[in-house]
Amino acid sequence: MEHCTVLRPADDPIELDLPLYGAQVQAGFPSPADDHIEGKLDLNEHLIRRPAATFFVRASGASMQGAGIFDEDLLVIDRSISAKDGDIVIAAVHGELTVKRLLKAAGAWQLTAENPDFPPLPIIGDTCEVWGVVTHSIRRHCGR
Amino acid sequence: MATFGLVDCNNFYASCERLFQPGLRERPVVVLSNNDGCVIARSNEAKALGIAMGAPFFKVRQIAMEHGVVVRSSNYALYGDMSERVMSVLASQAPAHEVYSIDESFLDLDRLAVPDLTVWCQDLRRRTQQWTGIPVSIGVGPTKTLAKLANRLGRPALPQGEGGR
Repeated sequence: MEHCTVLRPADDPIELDLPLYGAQVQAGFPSPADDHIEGKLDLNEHLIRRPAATFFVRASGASMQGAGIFDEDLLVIDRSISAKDGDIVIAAVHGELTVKRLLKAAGAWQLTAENPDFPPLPIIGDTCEVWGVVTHSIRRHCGR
Repeated sequence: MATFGLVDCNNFYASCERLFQPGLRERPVVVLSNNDGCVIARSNEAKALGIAMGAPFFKVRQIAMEHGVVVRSSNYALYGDMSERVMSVLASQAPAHEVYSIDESFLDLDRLAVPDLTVWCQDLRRRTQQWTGIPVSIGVGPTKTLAKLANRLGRPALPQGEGGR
């Protein structure tokens, strides 16, 4: 099974407020009237609501491609959130951490991949445990 | 009368190691001091094997190998980070707290107006475990000494009746 490694946020995260542009960016021609600055955005604040409960996980493998999570993506996990049906979660399965969607199907909980090549994993007894809920995924789109 | 709580992380260093490697959960785990000299943390399974707190590792190497004990060098950056997380959860819930060591904190529960202190402590344990992944025990008493004693009495009995990280 593909598994994930957990990273911890830096010890001294610095606040860095950068301008946030107000316009919704569309995949077309922007209106010249839209390019005003709406405020400042600090990525730590945007991504980390509860620092004491937040961990980062590096995703591995192709099983969650359908949910837009690809190999090497960085996931933000908030353990303070209790997992619900439909959440994307980090789960401990047979001692390894893996990212899957938590679903209740016909009254039974299961962990499902978002890739037809991967069968769902039924949650039986204590072979599986939800480790934390994935709140964001971060992907690099430019390698240089 | 004053009311103190003592929150103590269970087998703290071993619990930190287990959080990031759930495969270690059912196995005996020990953590060694700097340069891997002595045993400074033991999971309950390792305590049950009779591995003593502070034992020089060479003295327990044989029993560790025979029982498949997972042996870890200490990782203080990790333990420091996890400690901060636990302490920040406690600070957010208790009216006042005093960090006593890397894995213990006294809570001043005097001004805490809750109908049932036991239920409040159980909620705090659950919240700390969920947010940080670290299991804790809480003892409550009219003095810090008695809170610490209550904490020890609230734990499962172990051979040699000892605790520690």
